[in-house]
Amino acid sequence: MYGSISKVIRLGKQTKVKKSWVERFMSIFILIIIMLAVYGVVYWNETSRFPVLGEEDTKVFYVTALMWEYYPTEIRVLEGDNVIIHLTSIDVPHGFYLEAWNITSNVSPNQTETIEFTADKVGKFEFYCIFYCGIGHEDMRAYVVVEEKG
Amino acid sequence: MEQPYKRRNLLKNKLLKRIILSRNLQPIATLLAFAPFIFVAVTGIIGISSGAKNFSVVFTWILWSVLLALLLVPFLGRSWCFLCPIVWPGELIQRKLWKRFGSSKLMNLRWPKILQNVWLQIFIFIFFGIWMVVLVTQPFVTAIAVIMLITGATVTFILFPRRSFCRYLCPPGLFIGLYSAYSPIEVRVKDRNICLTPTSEGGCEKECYSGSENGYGCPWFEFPQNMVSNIDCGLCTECFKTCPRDNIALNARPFGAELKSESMRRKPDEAWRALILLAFPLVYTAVLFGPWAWIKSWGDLLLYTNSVGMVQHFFYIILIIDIVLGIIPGLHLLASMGSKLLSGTKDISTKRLFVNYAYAYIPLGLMLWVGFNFSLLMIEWSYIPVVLSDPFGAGWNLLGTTHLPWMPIALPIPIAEVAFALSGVLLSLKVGYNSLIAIYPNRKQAVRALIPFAILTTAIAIVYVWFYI
Amino acid sequence: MLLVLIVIGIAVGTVGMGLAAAQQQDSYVKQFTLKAFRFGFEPARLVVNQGDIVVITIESVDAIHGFYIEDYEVRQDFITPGSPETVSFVADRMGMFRIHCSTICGSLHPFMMAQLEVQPNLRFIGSFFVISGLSVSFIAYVWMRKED
Repeated sequence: MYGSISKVIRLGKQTKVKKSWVERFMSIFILIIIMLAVYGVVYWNETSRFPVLGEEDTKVFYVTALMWEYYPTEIRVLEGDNVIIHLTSIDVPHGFYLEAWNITSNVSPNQTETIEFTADKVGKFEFYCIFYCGIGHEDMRAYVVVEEKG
Repeated sequence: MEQPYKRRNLLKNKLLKRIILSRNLQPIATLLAFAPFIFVAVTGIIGISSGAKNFSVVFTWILWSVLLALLLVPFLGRSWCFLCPIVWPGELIQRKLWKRFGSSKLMNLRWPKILQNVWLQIFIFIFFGIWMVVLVTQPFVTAIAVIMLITGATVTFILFPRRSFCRYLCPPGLFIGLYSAYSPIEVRVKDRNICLTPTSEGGCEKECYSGSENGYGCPWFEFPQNMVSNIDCGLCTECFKTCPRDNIALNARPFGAELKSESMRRKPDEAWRALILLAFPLVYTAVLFGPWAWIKSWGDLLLYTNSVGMVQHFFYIILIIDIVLGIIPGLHLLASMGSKLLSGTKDISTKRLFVNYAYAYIPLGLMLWVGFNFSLLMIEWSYIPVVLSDPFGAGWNLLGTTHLPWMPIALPIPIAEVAFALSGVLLSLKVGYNSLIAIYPNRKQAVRALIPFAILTTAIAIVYVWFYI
Repeated sequence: MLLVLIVIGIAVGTVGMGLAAAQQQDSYVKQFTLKAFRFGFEPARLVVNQGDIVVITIESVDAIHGFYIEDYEVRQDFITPGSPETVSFVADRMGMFRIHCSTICGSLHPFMMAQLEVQPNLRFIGSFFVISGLSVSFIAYVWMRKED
């Protein structure tokens, strides 16, 4: 018994464990998951969109209105893009007014409104809430940023 | 070392044995747990800032932690640790280093003797527990907490051997480990005499601890031959695979059986662990479910109203620390002193009573945690299907359930909470009585000593129930 | 065993007397003006007697809030600042009933709470006696047990 205990205390070279195939490729699986996650986060930061397959010139955005902000706060497109915004609210009715293209909309919590326009101007354009939703209503705004192509 | 209670070896079932002894089970289960937690980090970072509509908050605090407290821990002990995903990046690196350098740690670092207890783990848990208000309502904070845990675990696994992180640092582990003592399953050797056979007479070479080609040596530094408690056994199933005599069993046993046996050593750090884990569901109930809006806003670090400043937030921190580290342990100390007085004997010190009896709070604390999580689930469950359809809060509708209204199921809560409190008190008194009987020679002395603790136990249960009924 | 019966007897007796007393009270109309703000209600505890007709006017101070009472299932969503809403019901059941906000109004929305207490709170008083009775009975039981 004492012989085996001294063997235990010696944490030296261990026998190699016969791993199953899932274990062998664990690092690969974990790396894949982490890389997908990082890709998603970086893509979002660059474009405020989720990776969606579609036409090159049409960009689809999901915008949520809540008390008292829009998510995401910035929509980035290139000049000439066809922009589609699916607008929804998670709490109370909100408004949407995009002055540069004169688009008005209201959205209630269980609805989605679809807004479409072509980004023919370059610059940073504001849209804000026009349906009273509480004391933060005045500050509720976000931006459409149109960048030059190329 | 004998723990005389009824046990049944579940591994006698051939199918269960094959599943548990398969080396594929743990990696697959871990991957299935890893994906949602990484998704928690992603949705927390880039998703909507409203917690109730973000997968990050809803999955972690309404699905996962509730599942943990209501099902996994009370019935399956430390089973979460079996598939815990946050340690896998670290454990994989550690095992690769093991293969290459023949050692499971870099730079020959040993976990410091002075930290081979749960004091540090208690402080880390309190740190997370104090900021519960922002942790459970802000997706970004939840995401950062998950990333911090994964990073901390990875670094610890690289520097220190085996699952030092899990044993000495992990915050959920503080809860999971302690209450696994109450669960109805356990890992124990079948026949200790087989373990004690010397190698010269055909005995084993303690592969359960040192590993063999069939599996790793116990990552939790547990020695099955001497195990009398579940608290530090992570149910990783390695020992079933390595034991050359097939002498280790996965037993079903009565709830809390190990708490009633005398062979469990009662340690001061674990006593405080039991006290703090008893205090927290009370604190969570009072702060989150109580009518005092000022406590909530003082605890809300990301301040929304201008009237609350750092001074108030600091006061909130002091208040929580006071209740958790001061009031509850202080009351327990008073009860210990009263107990010593009532028992009429000077032989048993107050400190010994303090440490021994604290273990009796394990069933009570568990029932309060179960009660708190039950109430949370009944009121907020309807956010789960919403968030599965729209994890980022962006307006998706993957499963068609994004626009589900809030549907609380409040009717069963009051009676359930009383039931949890009652069972907590009864089970706690039973364990407490057994603890006192073991140290007092005279039964009447033990019963007299029980009285102050019974008063404290009852008072805590009644205060808890006040918030629900 | 005897002690358990005594304790249960006390609990039942209290509940019975309370019920009898409650029946004899007159019903009043209790009016409350409740302010809903991020993230609580003011006043946070509404105390009424059993049988009262409760009328609550809820005013939102900042964001749009909701109002929901557990068990009574009284619910009013979308209370906008500037347009208070009124709910009314008869408080026929005794106990403490939590009040929640039912419209997502911000980060602490799930924990925005108040309490409605319908007196006498026999649910709590009964629980108090049952839990205490359990402890007392347990101590009596282990004291009087012959074997070990």
